[in-house]
Amino acid sequence: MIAPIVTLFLMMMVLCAIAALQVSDLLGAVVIFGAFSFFSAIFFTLLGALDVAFTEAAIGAAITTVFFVSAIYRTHRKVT
Amino acid sequence: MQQLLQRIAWLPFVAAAAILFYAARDLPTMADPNAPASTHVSPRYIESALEETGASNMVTAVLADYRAYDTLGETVVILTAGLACLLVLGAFTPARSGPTEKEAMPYEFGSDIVDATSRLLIPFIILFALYVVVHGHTSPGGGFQGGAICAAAIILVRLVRGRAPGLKLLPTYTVAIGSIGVLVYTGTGLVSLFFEKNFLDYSGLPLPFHGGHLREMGSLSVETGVFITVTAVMVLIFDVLTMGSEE
Repeated sequence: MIAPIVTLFLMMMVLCAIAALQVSDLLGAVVIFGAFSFFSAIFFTLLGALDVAFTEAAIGAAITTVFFVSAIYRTHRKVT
Repeated sequence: MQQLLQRIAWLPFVAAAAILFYAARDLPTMADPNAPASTHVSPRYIESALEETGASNMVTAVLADYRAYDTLGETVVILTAGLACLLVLGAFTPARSGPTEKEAMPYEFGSDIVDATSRLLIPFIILFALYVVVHGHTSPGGGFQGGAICAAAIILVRLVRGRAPGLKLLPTYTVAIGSIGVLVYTGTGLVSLFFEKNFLDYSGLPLPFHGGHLREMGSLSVETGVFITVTAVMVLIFDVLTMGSEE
């Protein structure tokens, strides 16, 4: 019963990962990576690992995104 | 010489992969009920974790009590990562000067909506972080999770209001706070060592509790240490990433 939903979110994670690699704008890649973390947080919730899920939401979706954005601000935005 | 090394660099890689694949054949298959971990280790935790450690959340029981050594190592690893960020990006490297104050990340976006929303949310986020730490024995959570949430709240303050209203701290002081977390953790272990028990054996703590309740208090103490370290290191990394040099 839960398997199709889990598969859907796993597919979304794979799509986000591929999209983050393909985008040449690094800021866009960071935003897509945040979406990846969000989907994996939902995935962990569906599997019943709530503590992992909200750590992923706090670290992956929020803090890492902020770190990446500040790192991009100190370097260059476009892939050379 | 270097070209030769580059050309044969794949050899150790392939050799290591071959050894690993060969060794992996001896591992039990995934979710095998007859595997040693499922026949000896897991039932022991499931049957006696609540009675021995007073924590109905078995993840916390294993993390903060049975495997407290591993968690101490993880906490030190996090502190080391923060120190490395401070060394690479912070003021301790004289060879490479940081960005000037003008080049540092701009603050004060001037949006009233973002300001009002974050003012409303941040107290509840910090309260939830503390709840996650203190209530980690009976519900999902623990020191790492609570620290991550609390650090997210503090970083949100800094993103919206700038560093000045949100606990302006020099990175050296933030590192000191992170070290206090590891000190709390190690100190808990040393106190039980002082009372003639093993290192991190919480049943030796001089507290007016008994049995599982005493060990629950001990693991709450080390979770507090983990919480302090994780929060401080996350805020530290954000600070050194966005900081302009003081000069």
